[in-house]
Amino acid sequence: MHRVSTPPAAFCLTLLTAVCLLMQTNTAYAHKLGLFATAEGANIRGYAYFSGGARPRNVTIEICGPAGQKLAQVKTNEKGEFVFAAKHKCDHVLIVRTADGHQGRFIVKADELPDNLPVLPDTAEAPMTYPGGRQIAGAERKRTIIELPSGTDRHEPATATEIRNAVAEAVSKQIRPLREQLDKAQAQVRLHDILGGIGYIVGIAGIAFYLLAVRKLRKDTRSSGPPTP
Amino acid sequence: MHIPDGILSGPVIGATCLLGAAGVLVGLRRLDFSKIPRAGILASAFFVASLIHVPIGVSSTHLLLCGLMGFFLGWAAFPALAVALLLQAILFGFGGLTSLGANVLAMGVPAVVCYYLFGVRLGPAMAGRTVFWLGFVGGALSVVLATVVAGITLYATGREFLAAAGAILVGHIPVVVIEGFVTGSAVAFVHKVRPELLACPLPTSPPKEHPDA
Repeated sequence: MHRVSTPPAAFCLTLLTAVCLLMQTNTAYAHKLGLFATAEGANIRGYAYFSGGARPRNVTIEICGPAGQKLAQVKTNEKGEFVFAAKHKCDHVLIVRTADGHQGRFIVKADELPDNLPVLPDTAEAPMTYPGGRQIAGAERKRTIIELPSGTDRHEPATATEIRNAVAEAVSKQIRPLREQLDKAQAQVRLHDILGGIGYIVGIAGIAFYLLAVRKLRKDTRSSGPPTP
Repeated sequence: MHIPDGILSGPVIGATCLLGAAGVLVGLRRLDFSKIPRAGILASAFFVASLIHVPIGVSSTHLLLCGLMGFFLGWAAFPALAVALLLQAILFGFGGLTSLGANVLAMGVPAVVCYYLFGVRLGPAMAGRTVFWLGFVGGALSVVLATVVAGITLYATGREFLAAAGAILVGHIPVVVIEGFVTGSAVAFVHKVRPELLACPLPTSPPKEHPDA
């Protein structure tokens, strides 16, 4: 007999460790780098995540226009979150990459951004104006969060656009948790995915068996085929 | 370790797919009746192992099991890995379809190297402790090799090789040790109970002699 007292002990230890790790991490960690973002006013706010929970800190997020032209880049903070003040009303493609070759993408649609942002120059079909026809001043373009000014500071009432933007921002803030939840649910690996995958493997093994059997049968019949004169 | 879609350049995708397909073909030719269930079980284990994640620093890692597959399957690890990786890409979104070749290579090359370096040395009369350590070193080395192969593919596509390989390797140091333990224990256990399940030469034939054993 071999002396094999160590390996089974080590095996049990490893199993135990694995179980402990499983319990500790609690959720199934998916090895995928994801990205989530929504627009609140003109601010695109979001976070990068390894689906399952962990969030990468200090990674660069590239922000590109709809045609892939790079607009800006931001870094995630300690919580893996980032904020970016959109300067144009266009689709923003956010890309996150880590050095070890993980990559995630997310698109913030132009519809989510306020109407008073100028259209991106390359794709601009209309002149950069308010619906009212007023040219947008540089300072106004920079302003990211549109607040309804209180009555005492202003003589004229808030414009329709401003009200619309304020409402849009408030609604977007309200539904953000819902969208986060939805995104999380979509990224999650479900039991039926796992079972389905194992089922596929069993099926493929079955097909392999069949093909091998057919080949063997053919070989057998050929070698011990009908007696020839 | 899964390289997703959109990272690798066109030529690298083509080359890795060709090499990966070649590996799968060689593996399929060596697949026989006794290896199919083994390949299926190990493919399932590999498929599920990627779900058990340990967050480490900015990344998160999981067991690879490619060394283990090398010990049990030899070249047949290639088709098993290809099936498992394809299903991971489709069902879990880990890795990608265009980078499937690269990922198959990153897992399959260590498996085959592990088989030739350590698997073929396993003899029927070998002491359990020796078998365990052969498995340990094989499993640990397979993780390092997988890092190197993934690093090379990233480098070929234009990323700094050292930074990429370094980042992956640092994230995998705990895995190197755990993988070694798992592989060593599993190989030693099977070697004791059902030695014929290993991909090494049959128990009846004497183990090959290597000068640097």
